[in-house]
Amino acid sequence: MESAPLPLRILIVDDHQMFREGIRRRLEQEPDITVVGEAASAEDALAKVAQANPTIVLLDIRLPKVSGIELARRLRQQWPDLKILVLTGYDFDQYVRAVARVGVSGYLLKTAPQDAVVQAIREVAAGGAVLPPSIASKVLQHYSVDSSAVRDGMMGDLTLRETEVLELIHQGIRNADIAKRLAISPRTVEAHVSSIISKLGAQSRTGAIRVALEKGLIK
Amino acid sequence: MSVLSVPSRSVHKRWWQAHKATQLLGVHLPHIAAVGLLLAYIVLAVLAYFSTLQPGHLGIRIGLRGDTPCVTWVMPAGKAWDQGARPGMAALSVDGQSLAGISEDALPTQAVTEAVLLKPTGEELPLKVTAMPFGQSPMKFSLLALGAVFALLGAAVVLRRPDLQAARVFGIFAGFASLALAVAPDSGGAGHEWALITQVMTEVGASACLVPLVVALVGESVWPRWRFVRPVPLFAGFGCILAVVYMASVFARPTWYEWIRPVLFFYMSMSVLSVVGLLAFKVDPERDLVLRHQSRLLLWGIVLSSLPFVSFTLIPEALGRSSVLPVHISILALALMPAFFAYAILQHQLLGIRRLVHKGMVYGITAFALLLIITFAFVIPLYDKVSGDRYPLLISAVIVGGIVLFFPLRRAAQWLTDNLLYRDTVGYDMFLDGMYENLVTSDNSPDAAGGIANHLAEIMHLESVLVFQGDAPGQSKLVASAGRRSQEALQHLGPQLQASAQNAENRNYVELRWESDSLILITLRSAGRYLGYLLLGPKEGGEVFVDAEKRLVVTVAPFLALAISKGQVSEELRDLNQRLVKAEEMERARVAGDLHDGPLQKAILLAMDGDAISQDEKGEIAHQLVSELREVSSRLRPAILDDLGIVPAIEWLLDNLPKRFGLVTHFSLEGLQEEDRFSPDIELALFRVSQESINNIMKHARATSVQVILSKETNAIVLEVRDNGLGFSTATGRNNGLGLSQMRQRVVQLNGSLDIHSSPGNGTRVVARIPLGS
Repeated sequence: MESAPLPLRILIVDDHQMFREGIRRRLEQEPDITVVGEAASAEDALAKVAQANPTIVLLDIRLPKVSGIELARRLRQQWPDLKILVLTGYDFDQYVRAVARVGVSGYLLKTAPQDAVVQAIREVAAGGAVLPPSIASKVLQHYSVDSSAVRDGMMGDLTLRETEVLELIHQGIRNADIAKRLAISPRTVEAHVSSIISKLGAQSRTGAIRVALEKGLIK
Repeated sequence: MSVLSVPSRSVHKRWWQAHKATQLLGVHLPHIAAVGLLLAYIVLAVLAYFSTLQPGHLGIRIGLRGDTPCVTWVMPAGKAWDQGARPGMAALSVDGQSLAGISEDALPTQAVTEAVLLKPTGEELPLKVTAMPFGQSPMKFSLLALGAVFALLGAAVVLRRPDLQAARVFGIFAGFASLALAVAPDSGGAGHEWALITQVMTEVGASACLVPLVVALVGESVWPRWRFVRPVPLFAGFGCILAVVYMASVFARPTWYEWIRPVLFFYMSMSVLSVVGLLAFKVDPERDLVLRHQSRLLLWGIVLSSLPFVSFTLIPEALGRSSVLPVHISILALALMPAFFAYAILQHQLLGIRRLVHKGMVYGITAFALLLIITFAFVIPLYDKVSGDRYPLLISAVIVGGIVLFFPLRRAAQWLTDNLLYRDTVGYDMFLDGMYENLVTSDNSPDAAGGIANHLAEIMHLESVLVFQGDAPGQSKLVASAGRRSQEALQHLGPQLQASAQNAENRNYVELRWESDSLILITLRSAGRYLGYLLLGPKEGGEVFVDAEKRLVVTVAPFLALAISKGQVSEELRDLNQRLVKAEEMERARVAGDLHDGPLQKAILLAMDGDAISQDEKGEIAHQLVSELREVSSRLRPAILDDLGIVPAIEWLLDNLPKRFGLVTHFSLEGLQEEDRFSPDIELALFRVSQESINNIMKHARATSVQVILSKETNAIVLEVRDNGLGFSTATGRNNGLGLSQMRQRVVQLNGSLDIHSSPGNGTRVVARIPLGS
């Protein structure tokens, strides 16, 4: 058997034709890379993947109708072995995290040099993951607790809202009035209250207040 | 002009000016007439009162016919007459003294207390003065009081409107009536000739005046011609002749009384009946509303007051039978007549008099009297059935009963008068007729308010309608007015309006007073939102607002509010539209500027030929160009919202706030995950609300921290953006800007709601709640 490696089969998914052509022209210069197709939308991409059986999909996130993220999710579901390399114009960490959750092999910016793209394709094909340093630092930052604008809304064990509800209960305000004051429905207040009680391991509202006071969750 | 149509307050002042010359010894004639009327009443009443204290007498004279002593004169309607004595009967004994064979000199000329006559049939007829003369009963005082009411009313009317023929006729009528009542105690009981004559003459006089009075009141010519005759003077003249003939008969021909009496009674009945007929049929239903109310009131007054007297006493007696009811009872019903006249004057400006006595006083007295009547109506039937030691219990029970029953009965009475007198007050159909036009065709708030004001003034006969519009009672300003006295009303009531409007906020309406007139103030609200208030009244001629009208106004107030708010909304829409166009233009200019200043310049650099810039520099410029374009495009519409959903989008928004504001941001999720997606409309609305709220915070709030909470409930998603900034008063800042109304619009379009909680110094919370469709 020939031991020459099979060429890498690439599908380019991007809604901008100019971009697709540019990248295709570059990739076709590489002997071990074959561009097996191009797709301008998510549906198109799914059809092409089924038909051309690529090894790697170069994927843009901005696509008409169904976004690249959703497409990536579906591709991962249908073809778990398929490798996805995101090639996008945005470096917002929200994108990076969303893509990471879906499980892709790499995230490259479109402004990166084309050589870097070729390099990345080879690395991904070899089973590696590709993240440019600027993006990698964003991902790492996210996992260090305080830097992101996102908080999980926890305070002690309670969410901010639950703490708020607890404080109002402590002031002796009835559920209905709490609902009015926080502009949420009374049923939600009840849900908050029972969640507070169970989180604090108490048996009753007063019990919950006592525990919260002891823990210093409310003043 | 009818004397009943809306009077002008200055009319009688002008009359006084013009008639300064009409004086007698330096005193105005109306004064003389009024004082004369009162004096005549007092003198007659005093005389009658004292003569009833004298022992009564039979009223017969005895003379000799041949040798037989017999009755030569019997006072008509006197004691003896009533017991059957007639001139010509033989007299057997007088005052216990037998007359048999008595000489002419010894003959007593007048029998005083007792006599026995011989009827032509041969029967003996014993005559006696009854032990308890009519005049000594409490009835005497009732009659005198009734007379006093007529005298006072007549004098007051003559003084108030001496310029009106009808008022002068009323003065004469009241004068006759009061004098008739003054002598009634004596003429009925003791039977003095002078009293009887005065009685009959004044009764005839009052009857004779009644017809011209009502003719003048309903605004007909008092002296119309029926071909060759003038009916009214003919009627009055006939009355005068009757009175003279009667006077003559009393002294000269007592037997004439037999036929004069039915004729007299017939005459009096006819006067009452013709007056009733006039009022019932002669008043044109198309005429002035005030006139219709006045005449209806008089009609009921005259029917109710004279019906018992006419039908149970006058008519039976005219037919030669005796009165069906005891005379004193049927006469007492006459008390209703001055009461109705007084009511018509007080409430409906009868005779063009706006104010006789203060209305409040009249209401007070009436209420008290009603309470007394109710109470005694219960005391009297129970009084005999209760033993003496329980009287205090009975009396307290009765007083409590009176108080308890007072309001139901008062309401029933009100209902009855409303239905008897005000059947033709404004109806819903009339109201809605004109309202259609204002609701449908007007798209501008002052127009709608003005149209409604005019419509109300017209159909409800209002002298003034004022429409105020504003966000709170204190901030409302006049937007429309109608009616000829609206300016005057505004001037007089201006200072107290705000307080009254606040008062009315939680009620259907409040009543205001302006001198003796009443006005009503109604709060206008649409969809729970305060729009302003409406001040109605006074009604033309100072008429009262009846319950039906108040109910009508309260019921239609939401329609008025709707019409006014519709105008306001379309005005707001126009305004919003203008601001939108301007905002759109500004936004375009800003985007154009952004593109022109950065990306375009860089693209030009890149497009330049030659070696002006190095390849490295070109790469750098290209990178900057990409990031600037990315920023412009994200600001127009963040790709992240479509690609990743609302949570990452808000996060991105908070991450990319301009650093110079130094805002610390917190974003928390409750009940949802970062990657949860909602329908694009909802996501966009939530994003724009966050964006706009944060823009506002940066622009106005001077806050140091912003907290965004996104929570998912069972079937709604709630976004809350709060800051710790300056806050503002939500009461004054409702129309604060295009951004806010656009925000609200976005949420409302998705059936959601947007609430803003803020007060100065306490930061602001913007809460958007959008239901999640099934």
